[in-house]
Amino acid sequence: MQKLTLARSVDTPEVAFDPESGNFRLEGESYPENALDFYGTVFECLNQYIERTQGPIEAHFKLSYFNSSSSKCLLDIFDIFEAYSSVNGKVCVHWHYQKDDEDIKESGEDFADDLSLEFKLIPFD
Amino acid sequence: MKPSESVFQPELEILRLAEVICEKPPEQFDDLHREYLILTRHYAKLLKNTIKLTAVGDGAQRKLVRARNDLLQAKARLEDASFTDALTGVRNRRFLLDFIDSEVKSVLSHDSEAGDHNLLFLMIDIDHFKQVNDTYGHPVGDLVLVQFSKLVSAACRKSDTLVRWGGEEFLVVCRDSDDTYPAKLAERLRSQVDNHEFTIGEGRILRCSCSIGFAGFPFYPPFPGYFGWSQIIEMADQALYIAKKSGRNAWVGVQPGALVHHGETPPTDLHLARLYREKWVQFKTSLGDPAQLVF
Repeated sequence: MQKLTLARSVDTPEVAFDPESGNFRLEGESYPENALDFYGTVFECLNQYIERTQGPIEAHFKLSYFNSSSSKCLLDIFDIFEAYSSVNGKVCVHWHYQKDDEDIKESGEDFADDLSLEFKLIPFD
Repeated sequence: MKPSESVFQPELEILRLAEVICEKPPEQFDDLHREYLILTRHYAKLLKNTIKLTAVGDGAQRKLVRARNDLLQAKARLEDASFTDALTGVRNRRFLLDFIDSEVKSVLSHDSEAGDHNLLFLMIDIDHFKQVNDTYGHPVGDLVLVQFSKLVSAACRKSDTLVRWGGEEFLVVCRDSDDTYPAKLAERLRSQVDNHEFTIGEGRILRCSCSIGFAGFPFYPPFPGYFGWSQIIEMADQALYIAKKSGRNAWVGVQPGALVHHGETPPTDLHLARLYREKWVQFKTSLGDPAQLVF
């Protein structure tokens, strides 16, 4: 399985997934015109990974802005993680937010609510 | 966007599944109950996600609104700064250029018979200011400018606008003044500056005087097109220099002449001495007899 690397664009975040380490990173702003076009590749890659391996996933989200369609796609990513977690896959979500950005912090809390995953809110300067 | 391309594709598939079950329900209660439980689970998840998406969406909107408000405030601050003289805090020439056209339009749109609709331009200059700078240095010159602008500002009406025109020259723009206001304001400014003790630090006090020139727009109310606002400012400036040549600590106001030039338009090259000789304009001055003025 190959590494996934999507470069950051004006309206899409940088995405990287390394199947060797299980390290997933999504960073930047997300408001693509067609969210499924962009996130479809990410879903596919993660689904492939959880089907083939039993390794851990360390997922890092560092977003400064995302639109509603992107939020739905993030929910779907958490769904994939939850599905993996329910069959004993180890997943830890790191939700990074800028210290004074209450909105991004709160959206992390909203996502984490009722989610059966380890979900850490991490402030940065 | 087609539903198949939507981010809600998984949910749409569940709906299609439910529709198929409704069209052809299982005959056995247990089978129907099982389908019902599955659909209820999907519905619960959908509802939970809808609640989350709404909360997250609201947060994103708040963030955008906050960012927009921050930008609007920053824009207002920048705009205000770009229209303000950094030293004295009064308006600058850019501010005048920005608002003058709409003021002039407003004046011209009113019937000249119905009340006072005019703009008075009053140019003020501190006498011998170069000597202040040369003798005491620029920091003291700056102190004088700040105190001078405060003095002028306090002597004007709230509706008047004080502009630092450049250096030690200030312009007051007054809306809708009556016939007596220009001379009253000019005299008030002249005497207040003359009587003011400018504090320049270390207990020292400085005395200054100022010279003033003024003219109003429209200059000839029945013919508002004869002189534009920038020409009226030029007139006020020339009047100011006549006040200086005539001895300083004085004001000179330019007023329309007797208008004996039926059918003629005044010369466009603004030269007050000539306009005065040809009786296009007349003067009013704190020095008494206009005939004593030095051009």
